[in-house]
Amino acid sequence: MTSSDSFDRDELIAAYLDGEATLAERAQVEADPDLVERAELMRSVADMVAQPVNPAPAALRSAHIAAALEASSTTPVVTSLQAAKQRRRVDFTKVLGAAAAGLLVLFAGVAVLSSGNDGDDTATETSDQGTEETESFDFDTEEGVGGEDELSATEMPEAEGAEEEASDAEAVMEAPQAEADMGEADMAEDASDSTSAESSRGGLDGLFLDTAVIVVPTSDAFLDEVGRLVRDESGDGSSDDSGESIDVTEALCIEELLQYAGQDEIVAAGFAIIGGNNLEFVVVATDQGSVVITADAATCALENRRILNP
Amino acid sequence: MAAQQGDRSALNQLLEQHYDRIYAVCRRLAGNDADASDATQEALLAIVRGLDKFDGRARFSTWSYRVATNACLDELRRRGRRPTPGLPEHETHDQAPQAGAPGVADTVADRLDLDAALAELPEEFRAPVVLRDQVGMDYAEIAETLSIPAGTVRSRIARGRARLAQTLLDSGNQDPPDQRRTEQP
Repeated sequence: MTSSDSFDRDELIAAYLDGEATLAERAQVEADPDLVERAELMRSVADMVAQPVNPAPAALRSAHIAAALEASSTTPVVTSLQAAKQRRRVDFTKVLGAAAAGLLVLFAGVAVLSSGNDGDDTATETSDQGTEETESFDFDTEEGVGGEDELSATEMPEAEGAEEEASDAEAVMEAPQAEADMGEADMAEDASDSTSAESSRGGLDGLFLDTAVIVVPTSDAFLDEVGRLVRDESGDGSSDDSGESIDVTEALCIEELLQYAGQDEIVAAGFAIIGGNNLEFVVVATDQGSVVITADAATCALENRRILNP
Repeated sequence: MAAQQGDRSALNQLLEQHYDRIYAVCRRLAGNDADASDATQEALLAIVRGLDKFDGRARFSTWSYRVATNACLDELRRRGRRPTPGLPEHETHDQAPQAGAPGVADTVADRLDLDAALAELPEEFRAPVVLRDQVGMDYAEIAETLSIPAGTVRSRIARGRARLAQTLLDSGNQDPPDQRRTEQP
């Protein structure tokens, strides 16, 4: 029997055992004692694989299900960017304190070393560098992250970028799990790109936009929540009240979203995670009503365009 | 479906209802308890995160096994290794051996052999065999789950079982009902 014959024979037997064989194939197997014998061997193998698996321990089962329920985030959670920024400012202050303490220790250490080496100007250089970094931190703290005078990522000192990431990580710890999935640090890295996009958006200045992180499990819930957000915010014209201009610099797909929006007025924007997919969205005011436009955050491809429920 | 609308209780009920079979699939695919545990967790997360994609065209059980199977396989691939046969499955102490049933030692040996044999089976054969024999999917469902043609399912199940038979016979612990023979390729 050739190898090919063997495969054909086993395929025939597999179909026979699994109820996938035709009548002719069944008859063929049952008429051949060798095939019947082989089928019995394969059946015993199948029976072995089919043996019931002992259930997972109750504690493990409970933990698995609890974690899954937690991840489902059945209640939409909205975290305003402003609140997140506020947290970052607080966290950043703590980081600054630690950084300043570290610099003092470093300065003291270098000073001790340099006291035994009069010709070495390392301490002076380090001191100057430390001062520059501290000034940069103070500047950013005063202006706030994401403010109109925000430093672009390329202007930020390397150490500051690292601190910003650390600060983001802390914010993420406080925010829903899905927010971590969005990779805010990655967004910060791309800030320079989106800053250029911001400069080209022109007409968006002065319009209301409260970027939010929305974590919802279903599309309908997403739309409901966006609709609520838009209704709430449009009711009091909070653009002017909050004094917060549109901050699209954190949207990686802003150029595409602006393109999808066309000439329509953008009234809201944000990030959403729906069914495990990272999305960015804008809500635009059209003659037909508010329309939410979503884009895949990874590819920036248009994902959906739907009219919000009134 | 209530679970899709954010009904936490309904989702909990759904997960409870399907947990054992999902765990069983992952256990057979993973080959040991530790990897099965991690894979099962990933599978459940994939299900809840993808719940809004369930459109009701297939049965929920079919859909959930498809998601779970792929999540398990992804998790095992991430670990970059074939399943490692480990200790026997969690033993439940309230299961007394029945008269005429194999003793515990035999059962453990069989499970170790099966885990080892499955571990030697490449994933492309292991997954269809597990989905057919452990889950009871038909070829069409397996084809959809693994995104392969139905004809390929039949071929892989046949070759997978043949390899398993050979491995088990070589290990000396496979004892088919009426005969014990060396496979003639």
